[in-house]
Amino acid sequence: MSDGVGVYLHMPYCPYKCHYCDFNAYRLPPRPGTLEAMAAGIVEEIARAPGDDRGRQARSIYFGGGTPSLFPPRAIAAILEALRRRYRVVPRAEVTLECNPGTVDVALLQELSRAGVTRLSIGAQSFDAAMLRRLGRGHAPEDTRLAVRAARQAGFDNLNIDVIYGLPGTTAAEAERDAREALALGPEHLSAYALEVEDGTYFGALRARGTLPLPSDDEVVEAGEAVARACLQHGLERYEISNFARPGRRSRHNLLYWHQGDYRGFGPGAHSHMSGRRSWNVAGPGPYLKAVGAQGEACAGEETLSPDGRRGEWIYLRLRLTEGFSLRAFSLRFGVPLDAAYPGVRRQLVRQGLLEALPGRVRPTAAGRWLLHRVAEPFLP
Amino acid sequence: MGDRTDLRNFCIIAHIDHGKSTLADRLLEATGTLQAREMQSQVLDSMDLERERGITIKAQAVRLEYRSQDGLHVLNLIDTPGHVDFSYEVSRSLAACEGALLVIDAAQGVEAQTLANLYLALEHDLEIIPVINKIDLPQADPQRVRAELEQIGLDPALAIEASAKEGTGIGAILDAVVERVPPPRGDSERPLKALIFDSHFDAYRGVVCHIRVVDGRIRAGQRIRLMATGAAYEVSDLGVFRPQPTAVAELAAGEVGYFAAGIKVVRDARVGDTVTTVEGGAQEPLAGYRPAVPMVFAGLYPSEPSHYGLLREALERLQLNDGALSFEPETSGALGFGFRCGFLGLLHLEIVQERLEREYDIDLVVTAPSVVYTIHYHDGGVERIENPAALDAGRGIERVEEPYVAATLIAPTSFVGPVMELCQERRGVFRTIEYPSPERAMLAYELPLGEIMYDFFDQLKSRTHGYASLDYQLAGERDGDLVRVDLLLNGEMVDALSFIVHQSRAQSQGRAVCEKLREVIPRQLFDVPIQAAVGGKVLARETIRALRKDVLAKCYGGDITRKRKLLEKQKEGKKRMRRLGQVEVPQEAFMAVLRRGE
Repeated sequence: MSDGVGVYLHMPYCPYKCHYCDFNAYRLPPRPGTLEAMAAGIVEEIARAPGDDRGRQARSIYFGGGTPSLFPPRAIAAILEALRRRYRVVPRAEVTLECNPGTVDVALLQELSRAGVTRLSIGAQSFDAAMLRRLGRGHAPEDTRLAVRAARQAGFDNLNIDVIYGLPGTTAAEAERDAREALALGPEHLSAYALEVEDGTYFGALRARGTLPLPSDDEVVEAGEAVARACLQHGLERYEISNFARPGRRSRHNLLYWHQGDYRGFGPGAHSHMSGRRSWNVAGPGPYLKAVGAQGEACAGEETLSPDGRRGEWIYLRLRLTEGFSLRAFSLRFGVPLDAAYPGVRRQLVRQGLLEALPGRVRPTAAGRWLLHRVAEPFLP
Repeated sequence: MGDRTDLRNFCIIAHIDHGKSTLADRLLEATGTLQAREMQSQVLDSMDLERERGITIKAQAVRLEYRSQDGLHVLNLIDTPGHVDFSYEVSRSLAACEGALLVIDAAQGVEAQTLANLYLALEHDLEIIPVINKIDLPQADPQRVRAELEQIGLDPALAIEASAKEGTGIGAILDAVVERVPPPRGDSERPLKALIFDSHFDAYRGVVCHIRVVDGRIRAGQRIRLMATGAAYEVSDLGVFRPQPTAVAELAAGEVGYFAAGIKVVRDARVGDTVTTVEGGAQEPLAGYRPAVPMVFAGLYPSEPSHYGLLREALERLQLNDGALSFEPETSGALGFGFRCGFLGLLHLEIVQERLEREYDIDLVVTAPSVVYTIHYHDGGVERIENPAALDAGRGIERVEEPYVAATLIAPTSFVGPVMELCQERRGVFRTIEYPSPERAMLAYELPLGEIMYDFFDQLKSRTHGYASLDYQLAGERDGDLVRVDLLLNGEMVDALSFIVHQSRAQSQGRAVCEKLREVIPRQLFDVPIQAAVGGKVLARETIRALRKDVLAKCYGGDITRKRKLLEKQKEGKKRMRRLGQVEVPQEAFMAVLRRGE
């Protein structure tokens, strides 16, 4: 990659906690000033946190959460302002903000646009009202349609819609219907994630009690493929296992993750990666703000990958992409041909039907895409 | 009357968890043998494993000095193992005593092991002092326990109430030992006869034998002979445990202590053997000696094939200290090179397995345990097999004999139904039922050992809400209508999974094992059929569906670390799997046969 850097901002508050959510997100406390204090803390971290990323070119900025659209636009503007002081933000930088239906209107979105946000990611998740209630989402399908309309009115020409498939009690038919509802809104980008139920969430508890009728892995794969077919019919191409885009509208920020690029995270629990060193911030909002106030940063831990570990991770991340990677790109980056670094591995995976038999390129097959852990495993140290 | 009227040799017998070890600690404390601050909780259980499991595996002996109204007395407390696997060892410890404290939990009352131990003690003509322990418990009911004592033929008036935990009743117990346990008989002037009731391996002194001198004297430097093996040695160390080993010049008739004589392996100094002198020794050994006979066999294989040599060394080391452990090299098509090992019972197996993994750091694959079957072939040949895979079905089998046990089960009368049902399911032959007290029933059954080895005890506990107890001893062999069930994975037979079972249950158990295997074997890239078959005829079938998806959908906020760690952990887990043909099988699969209870 170039010497550019991506920036991730973690906005940790939500109006409610969804039943499947195990993100570092917290129900917004009723105390007034909470959002402002968090935004001020993030601004302070951007201003004070040490690091040689200062002065580098920033090509993508991503406000994730939580629900970033809960924050007042001037808080978002202040954070972007702080970022412009720390980085050389390129003129056509991709600046994405995640928003939840029911938390946005045209006026607010216009303000965000003026602050510098160029792309919105709208968390639709499902278009079935009963399912949204079951997921603990505080909005109706109609709110999603209104949000998309508002975004267009506010001038946004780059929209992502998030949907989840593999939901309790659903089949491929429901997944496809949700995808088509989303695609009918004409987004430039669609992210479709298979539901993952984690321990410690409400759904995790239901699963433990045996009352969550999750579809089988086979059904989930079918659902995922049905979503992919719907996307293709609407001109959105699958470029990563869970991501679909119109030509030229792939998410620059997401690609950075899969390209093992450098990114810097600010906010509670945010992760950073700088040339093989991965680090992360203190997760809790309170401890985060305290740490930033005291030291100007809130780093909670870090790891530096071994050369072998970094190489294996690079392969693992690249294989998430539909295009995989070229043998040339690998040997340029690591100074050794793939087949010399991992003798026999590629041939074995091709024989197992997990990798395409292509000259010069390593790419997962349709089956291999869903068995990425199997594919990547032999490359890990 | 013997030479030493100040001596008392006694032991403590009890059902598991009735407080034997805690009582032993208090006796040591009360006699000043150990100060409270020196006490590591439960001194007599010196192996880590024993302390963790709360059971005594190896017997120990401690010399206590107690001043009663009649003067100074020497009390030898001989501890006994508390598990049915070690009942022969218990009997040898009892043979070294003249009295026994029978400890009964004031809340639980008389249990199967209480009775089994009591009968053993009565067989050895021991003076029984009942101790009703844990009277501090809110549920304690000493009156009910006294009534039960009467039912089993003991005088309830002689029972002592105590709380070892709180230290009450300890003085009364020590006084009772002095007053009621007879001093040892025996004559120091007669030829030496000493009973080995335990032995352990010491890295510096070789095997240390724990002995009770019955007649004669043993001295340091003396030439001695072990009568069962016939081997002669010279006594290099002689002493008593206080509880630290303390050297003495001589042990005379009635005394308890230890000696070392450059014996290299515990097997050479067998529990129950008689020690005598080379010059002018005894003609007849003491009665009751029996060589250790393993009852349960299992294959032990190193997870890492290159650790085979290491495993052999570790087994040899363990055998130094464990005369009941046997092993022989064995080869399995599925598991490669390993050892077929013999154990006294399942607990013994578990202990050996844990010690190999813990003390020697060897990762093991253990096959499901099997009993010894006697196969009578049509051609007149007879074979005893310790491994189901060794059964040669092609040779034409006339009949198969299997070992039986005589079992005693005690349960509240309301659970008699479930207990009988369980025994019948396991092909038990009913013998008798008695009522030691109005609320408790004692059932006698004869059961195939192979049927109670697995989950019988767990089943008994769960069907009686934990109230039933069990004790058993070997009771010969009988014909059984037995067949071998083979398991096929992806069409290939896995020899290490074969098991022998009664004809009538071959299908249900074959199905249960197939189901269990389907649960524990991870999905592969292709469908894997699992079949259970008898003599080539398939009885049950399951399929492990091919893996379709293992990818994680989302990378949340750039947290690659968590994902990669998950993947690394997965890879680590796979290293511990066995490859059978094209199928990766986790180690626990080989124990699936154990959990085949329908």
